[in-house]
Amino acid sequence: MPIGKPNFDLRPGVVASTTARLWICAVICIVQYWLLTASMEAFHGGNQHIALPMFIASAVCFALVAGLILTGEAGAKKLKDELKKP
Amino acid sequence: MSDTKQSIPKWREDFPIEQEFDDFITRRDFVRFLGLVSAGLMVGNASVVVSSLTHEEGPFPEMEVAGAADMKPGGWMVYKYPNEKTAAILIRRENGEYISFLQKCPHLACPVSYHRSNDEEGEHIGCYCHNGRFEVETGRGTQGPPRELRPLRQVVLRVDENSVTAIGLNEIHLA
Repeated sequence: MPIGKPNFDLRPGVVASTTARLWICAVICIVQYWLLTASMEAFHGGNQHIALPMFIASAVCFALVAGLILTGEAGAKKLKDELKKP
Repeated sequence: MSDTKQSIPKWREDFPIEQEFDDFITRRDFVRFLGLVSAGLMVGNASVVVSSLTHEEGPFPEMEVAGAADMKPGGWMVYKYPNEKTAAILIRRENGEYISFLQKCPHLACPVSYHRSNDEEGEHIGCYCHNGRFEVETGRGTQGPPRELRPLRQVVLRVDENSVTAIGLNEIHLA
């Protein structure tokens, strides 16, 4: 029985780059969590004007996380396509 | 039962996880999950924006504070304003002036109280939870966590000869 190709990324540096992406995303999520709690606190305190800038900052954070995820996914898809080639 | 156990090869006992499940929670999967968390937090912020756009405050009712006219200088009392769920404090200062604030500390919403002493400390509004203090004149924080936060929200009063009436809340202004 022939040994199948691995179904995960074995390129050098992949683990390091994925770990880096993971940590960056985690830190961004912590920042977003702070943004959410701070804007809720301000809202309950009667400050209605800070919510929109907070939301914009949170959306930028989400865009960064989504960009990092898509970059990783694109790399993995490229490798998968290469592995499919006979 | 024993037949089933015998049919399991030795290597399967040492490596009981299928290869497909072995890489089930990879770093990449976890990053994807963080993407979901990030999206959820952004939606949470969006809900705060929607709430702030649709939030309407007032008009505030006019409400006579029962027993306020009988208060002696240096005394204080708790009453409910602008609704039955919100507590406020009414202070009658030594000079006879009335002043009122909502009782909620801007730090962690503990109830605040009025303190007066004849020594150099004088009078202040205090919060027991984290030893916060506020100026009586403005409600601004002078000690503890409230120093960095917004002041106490002031209740607007109309003082007549025989009555004290709460007529609204001051605009919030950042400390």
